[in-house]
Amino acid sequence: MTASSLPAEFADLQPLVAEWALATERERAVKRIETDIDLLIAFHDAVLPRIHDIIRYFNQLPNDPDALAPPQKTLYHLAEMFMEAAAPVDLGWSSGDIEDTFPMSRFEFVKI
Amino acid sequence: MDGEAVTSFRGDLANLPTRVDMKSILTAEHFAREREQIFRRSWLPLIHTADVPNKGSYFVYDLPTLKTSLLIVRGNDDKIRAFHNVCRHRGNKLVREGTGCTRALWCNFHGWTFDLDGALKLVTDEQQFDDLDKSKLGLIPVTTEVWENFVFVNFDPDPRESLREWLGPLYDQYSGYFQSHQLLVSNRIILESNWHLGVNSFTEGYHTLYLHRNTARDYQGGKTNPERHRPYLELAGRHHRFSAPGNPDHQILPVEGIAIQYGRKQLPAFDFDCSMLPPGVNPSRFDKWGFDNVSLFPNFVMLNGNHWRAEMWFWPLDERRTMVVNRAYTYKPKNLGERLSQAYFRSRGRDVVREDLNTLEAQQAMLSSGAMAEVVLSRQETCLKHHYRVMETMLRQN
Repeated sequence: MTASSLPAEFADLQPLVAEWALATERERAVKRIETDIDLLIAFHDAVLPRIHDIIRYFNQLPNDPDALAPPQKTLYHLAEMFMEAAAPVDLGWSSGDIEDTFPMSRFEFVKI
Repeated sequence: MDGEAVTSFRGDLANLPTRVDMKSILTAEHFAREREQIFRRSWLPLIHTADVPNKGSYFVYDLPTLKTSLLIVRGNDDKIRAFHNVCRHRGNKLVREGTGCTRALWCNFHGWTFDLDGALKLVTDEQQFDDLDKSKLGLIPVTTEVWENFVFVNFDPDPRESLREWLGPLYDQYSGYFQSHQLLVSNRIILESNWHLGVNSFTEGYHTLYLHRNTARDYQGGKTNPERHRPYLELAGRHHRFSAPGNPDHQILPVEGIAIQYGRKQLPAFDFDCSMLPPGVNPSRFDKWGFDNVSLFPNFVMLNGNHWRAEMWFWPLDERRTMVVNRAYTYKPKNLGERLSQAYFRSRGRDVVREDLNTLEAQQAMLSSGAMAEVVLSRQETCLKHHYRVMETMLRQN
């Protein structure tokens, strides 16, 4: 995705956008799985001090992700990625995924 | 044993097998009998009423287990009907895939058109057909009934039991529960594994201590129930359910705490207050309740929690392949912060499900090697014993 700008009050997070503001659940899940734990921790540590501000910012907006303006949407995806990346960091895993689990690539996201 | 919690068992516990001959069950011959005597005679939940929300809404459900595709339609009378998805002219698949909303159903081959109630309404160049009785060429119906939010079908043209009889004591116990959630995510996985192994893996809690040690290490049990015995387990007709024990000593992780602050507890933390839930959810009102596991025979499993639920279907393609359909639901979010909170728990839940799926192909490979015939079951795996007892009973019926 293109490196869309963030809302002005979150411009400090702009360096994270190109790599981490991923639009779909599958992209975010795969990103976490395929990223080294050191890089996940660095991303986590960069967003953590701002996550309360991010959530409070979104709680003032209408309750509809599809209605967000593009910079807001980018920030929202960044926040979703923060949630996705949390488990390996908080649980102390040595990589972005546990060993010996069912491959994410075999999940087909469908409407059924 | 000190600290061992006791399971309260309910239902017919007589003559439950402690061993199951999987070598016989995994054969093509056995599955051929299951298809005809179990799947063709059972009430099968397929979708939710919310999946066909408006008059004219339709949903194509391909059902490889019974080698057909169904077209589920909400009529102008608001009644939901299911039909074989086939044009009565020359057998074209009427609607290829997906969902939508329409005023009528027409075939893209020759333009035959059917009303939402299945009646054949229009035949292109009708005068060229001799002896055509349109009243006998409506879409072929499949018996359909709605229970709470679920649309059930039964392929038996004359079902031996009503859906109320089929669900028995469960029928009246879930009023309003399913309406309180909305669909968060759905996905599908094709497994190289027999469908029973899928149902089995998702209907016991014995595995949680070990299999989920990396993803949800302390979500159940706790100091007073270290072996995570189910506090309540009920065999209800052909179905079964049990309650999973939450862990009052669960250590909330940093981001989990943020997700809880801006939303509600979902797996792996649990909201023990179930005062707003109907009697079927946490039926014994266990005070440290995590969630319920409810299995509707033959192939549907629900995890029913406070603020969240999950649904899994295990549709056999044949004796060694299964289409798993997995849907997750949550409380209806009132703001974007709650949605971000839900994103956290969705990720945690997915990691647990991936572990659950991960033994099934390995089991299939080894059980079909013929090296061992029987699997051995504990009291904490009583639902598996019951599943196979029900299977045997249905296979014996004419």
